Order: sequence, then structure tokens, then C-alpha cells
Amino acid sequence: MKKTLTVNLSGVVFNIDEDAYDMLSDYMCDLERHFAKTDEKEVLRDIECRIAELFNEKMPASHNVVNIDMVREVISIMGRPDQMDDGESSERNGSSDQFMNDMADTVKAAASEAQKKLQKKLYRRTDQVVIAGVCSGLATWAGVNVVVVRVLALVATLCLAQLWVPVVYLILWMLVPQATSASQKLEMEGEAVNVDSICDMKEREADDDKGEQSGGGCLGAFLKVALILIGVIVGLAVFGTLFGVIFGFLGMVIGAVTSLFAGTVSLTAELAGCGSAFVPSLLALVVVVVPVVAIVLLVKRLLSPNNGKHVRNVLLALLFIWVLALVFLGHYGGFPFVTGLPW
Amino acid sequence: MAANTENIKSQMRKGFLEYCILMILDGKAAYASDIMQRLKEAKLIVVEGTLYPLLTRLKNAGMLDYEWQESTQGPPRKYYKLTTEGMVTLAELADAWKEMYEAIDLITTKKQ
Repeated sequence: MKKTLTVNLSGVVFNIDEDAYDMLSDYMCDLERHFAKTDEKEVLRDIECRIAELFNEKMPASHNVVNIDMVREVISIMGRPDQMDDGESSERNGSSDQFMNDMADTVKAAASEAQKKLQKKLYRRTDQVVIAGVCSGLATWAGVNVVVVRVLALVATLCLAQLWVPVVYLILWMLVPQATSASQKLEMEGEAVNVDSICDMKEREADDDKGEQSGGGCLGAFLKVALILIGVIVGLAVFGTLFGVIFGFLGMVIGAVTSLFAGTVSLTAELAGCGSAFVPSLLALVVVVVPVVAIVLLVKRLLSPNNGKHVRNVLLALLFIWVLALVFLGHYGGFPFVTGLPW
Repeated sequence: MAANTENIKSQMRKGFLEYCILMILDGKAAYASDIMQRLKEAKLIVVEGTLYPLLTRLKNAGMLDYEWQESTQGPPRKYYKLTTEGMVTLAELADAWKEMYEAIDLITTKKQ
């Protein structure tokens, strides 16, 4: 028994098996990425049209569901994206020519594979999860056993008896994306992403699902809820402080301006007084505001983990600004908030 | 070195393919799948995906035009035909091809 989905390929509706759908949508994504450079939306539409036509032709009279074999066949007819632009596999006459071509293909494939092997990407693993898959992701990235990384993390947490390790873990949790799609999993393991490897990965995933129901991640789910709660509480607290700081800041400015107009203080003295207070209070404002924004973003991201890259970049930028402001504030002799931190 | 040969060959094939598509469409409009069929017969193309970027490029260059035609089975299809500009280009390409062919012929016969 298989679950089926309904897809619309350039206006024609097909019922399609779930595994076949996954393969087809991965293929379409690859094509989209391939043609995105040249901005040829029309080509994609043409190809989609042709795929619909081929499905129609290949559909046996007794069936009305597109299965994975049909998708595989259509993909082999249309060709992988890398075959499309330079048409490597066409026009092969004569055995020496054939040999040369094969050699070239092998060399190219080996070279690109070697290159890909080096470019592993850091993802959080979804199949080996205790909290959020950060340790298993790091282990895959570094090519070491997961147990090693976990034991190291645990020992470091206990030995340092400080917040460094958990904080780094939280930051990685925020910044490192989850490997959910087949191509992300391949990138994580540093394998070449093409139709064949994606198909292999799909089959492996299917086997894993049959093999065992993973019970991991419940600790992660619990922590997530706890984190969201903490986030909300801290967010509210910081929000209160924020109001205090803003009104304090406003009060300072208004006070300065009114005293200036009242003529009680001379302009030079006023500027000197303000100058010394202005920069630290502005920095303090940044130090308080940035975590609020970060917490709001973090909670949003935890609730819907798929809103991709820009959240990550924004968080990174915020982290940078915050650290910078903190350092300068420390330079100005500080703020009890900074020296009071646990590290 | 091998990759370089491959690059030259693919460049040659690319130019050649566009000429062939114009030739196929000369005097008679056709569906993408018909063009595909002819190119496959001539063993110029193996995967269909190669054709669509080429057709779009030729169309954007003003050499081809298409109209939608209803199909008895499946979605409506694009029916491609040459524009006047395409015909001019085809004539130019035919001359260029002839020149090239003669040049290569001359060099190979002189060698022997």
C-alpha cells in the first residue's frame, strides 16, 4: 500500500506515488538550480510540459498513478542537468573517440567527486538526535564517531562548570540548519549531489524507516519547549528593562536640551557632559536591544524551523554587533550587567 | 587535457546543433518532440533536456517563433516555426558551414 499525492504539471493533473513525487520534486529542484543562473524560466516550463506529455504517453491504460519507475524513465529521457548544457553524451563515433570520451568523463567525475568530498557542509543530523543533532552533525562533518563528540561535550561541560559549552551548543542549534532533504544529507556527508545519489539516499531513508522507529529527540523536544518558555520569560524581562533604558535615554536627552535652552549650562560644558555619557548609554541600549531581537527571532525559528538562511545571517550579524558593543562598553568601565555575567 | 578536448567538442556540437535545428524547421513547422525525434535519429542528442534551452535561446534571438496547439492527449504543445530572421540566419549558417567544410576538406586532402 502506498500513499499518493496529486500534482499539477503545466495544467495536467496526475496522481503520483509519494516516493515518485519525492524523486520528481528533487529532480525539478535540481533543474531549477541549474537554470536559475541563466534565468530561463521558460525552459523549465517547457521541460515540465514535456514531462507531463511523457507521463501521459507512458501511463498504461489500466493504471492512473505515476510510479517511481516512470519517473526514473522520464528523468533518463530528459537527462540530468549536467548532461544538458554541454551534451557530453552525444555524438560518439569510433572506438578511440569513445575511449577518449569515457576517459574524460571518468577523470572529470573523479575530480569533481574529490572536490565534493572536501566540501562537506555542516548540518544538524535528524537521524541521530539527543537534543538537536548538533553533536552528530559535528561528528559527521569532522569524520569522527558521534560518541567521541558527545563524550567530549559532556566532559567539557562538567569540567569547565561554566556556561560556555551549552551556549556554544545553543548558538550552533540556532545557526546550523537541519539536514532534512536528501540533497542536504548528501552535502552533509560530502557526497556528490546528483540524481543517482539522491535516489540512493531515498532508498536508504526508506530502509531506515522500515528498520527502526527512531525514539531519539524527545529530550530535544522537551528542551525546545523549555527553551521557548525561558525565551518568553527572558524576553519579557528584557523588554521591561528596554523600556527603562529607552525612557532613561530620552530623559537624559530632554534634560540636556532643556537645560541648554534655559541657559543654566554653557554649550561647551553641555557637550562635554553629554559626550561622556552619550556613547556608553547608546552602547548599553544596543547591548539590551540586540538580545531581545535575537530571542524573538530564535523563538520564531524554533516554532517554524524552515525559514532558511536570512534568519541565520541576521542572527550572526546580531551576535557580532552585540559582542562588539559589549567589548566597547567594557572599555568604558561598564555596566553591572556585563560584569555580572557568569563568565 | 582531456577536459579541454571535451570542452572544444561541446562547443563545436553546440553551434552545430543550432544550425541543425534551424535546418529541421526550414519550410515546415514542428513540435519540440518532432525536432527531438529527428536529432535523436541523427544521433546528435541523447537527452531531451538539451533541446529546450537551445529552443528558448533561438526564440529569444528572434530566429524562432511558436504558437500553442491543442493536443488530443496531454497538455497543449508549442509548435515552432522559423521567422524571417531565422531564415536569413539559416542561409548565412549554410554558407558558413559550406566554407568550413571546404576548408577542412582542403586541409585533409592536402595532407594525404
